[in-house]
Amino acid sequence: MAFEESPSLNLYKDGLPSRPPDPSRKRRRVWAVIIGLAILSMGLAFFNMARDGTLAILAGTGAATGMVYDDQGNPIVAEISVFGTILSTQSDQTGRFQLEGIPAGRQVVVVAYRNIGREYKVNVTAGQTTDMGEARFQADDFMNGWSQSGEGTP
Amino acid sequence: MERTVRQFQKGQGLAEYALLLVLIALAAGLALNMAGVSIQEIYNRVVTGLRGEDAACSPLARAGSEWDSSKDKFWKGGIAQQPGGYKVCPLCGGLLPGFSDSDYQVDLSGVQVTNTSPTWNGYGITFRAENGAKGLNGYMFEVEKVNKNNPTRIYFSKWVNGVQIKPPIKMISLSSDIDWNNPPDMSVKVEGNTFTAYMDGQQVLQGSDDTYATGSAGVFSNAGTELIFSDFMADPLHCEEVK
Repeated sequence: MAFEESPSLNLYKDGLPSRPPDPSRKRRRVWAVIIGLAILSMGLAFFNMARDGTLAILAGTGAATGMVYDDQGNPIVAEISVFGTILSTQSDQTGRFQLEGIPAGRQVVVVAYRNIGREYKVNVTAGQTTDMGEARFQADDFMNGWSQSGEGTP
Repeated sequence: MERTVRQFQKGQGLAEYALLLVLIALAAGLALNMAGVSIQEIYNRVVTGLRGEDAACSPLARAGSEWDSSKDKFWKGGIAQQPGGYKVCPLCGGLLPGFSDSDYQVDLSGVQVTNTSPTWNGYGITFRAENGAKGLNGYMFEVEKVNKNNPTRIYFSKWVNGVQIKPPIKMISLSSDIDWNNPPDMSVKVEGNTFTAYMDGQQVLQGSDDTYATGSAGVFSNAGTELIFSDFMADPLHCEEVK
């Protein structure tokens, strides 16, 4: 600053200038609203993640195993998938299947054969294998136009 | 110097207001998502309103030249536009493209069928559906006749990754067959987890399921039937004419 621009006593001959209005009170209110909204957003995001299964991934994964038969007790090579995920596998020639990496929690496993599926609700525990038992198709399941299309047979 | 401080405080205030707006938008988006309301749906309704149409009563979507055809191991093809309507080949189907909503009523009208085989005759409406990577996900309402020895049945079914889940959500056999030479128009009202089916305006079946909250709507035919229809649309559930 040049010497000529330095403040001089003349500037304060009428006393000290009045203090500018304190903006901090208004600012505190704005920040209170910002923090409130941030907490609300985090809560809503948490709820949404819990609902769409994202949190279940953090809870770990488990496996499910079982057998698939037709109504005569013959093993079936079926496709097994977990609803809402890309996880899938096929049962072997003896009808046995094991599906790994299933997010822990309540899951719906779909066993599909000849374009027909059956749903099984399974409680998957992280680090453990849940035995679903037998999945059995009935002859009546295939009394349907859709299952007459042989191209979909696994 | 005082001026510089004021300018800085003004700029800081603007940044705070911008942050406030972003958080309000984020919280609103998350709340809508939690309530199952599509932001795209709201946007579409606002755009419809701005065009000067009665947003509450305009169809949400309607049959046009393009269909989102079912393409997987089992469906044979899609829906073809022809003079006066549309043709659905046996074991073919399609969805209204670019449409997804939660609650609506779908109407299939001007229906004619040609049963190309004595078995697996039928047609129906798909709703809250989408063509996923592994096949169709969603719901169907169908009228189906397996063969001449079986009664015609109507049912709601759920589809997961292109396979139909058994048992159906709700199924009944009709005490008297439909007139296949003059087949009924069909409607399905989708509200919350409850689905209500109508044939020629008469309620015929009601079912409920919680699996799918939103999705498109479409038309399909069974393996032994070629279907022709004049119109298909998805309407809002609560439409109040402005007088």
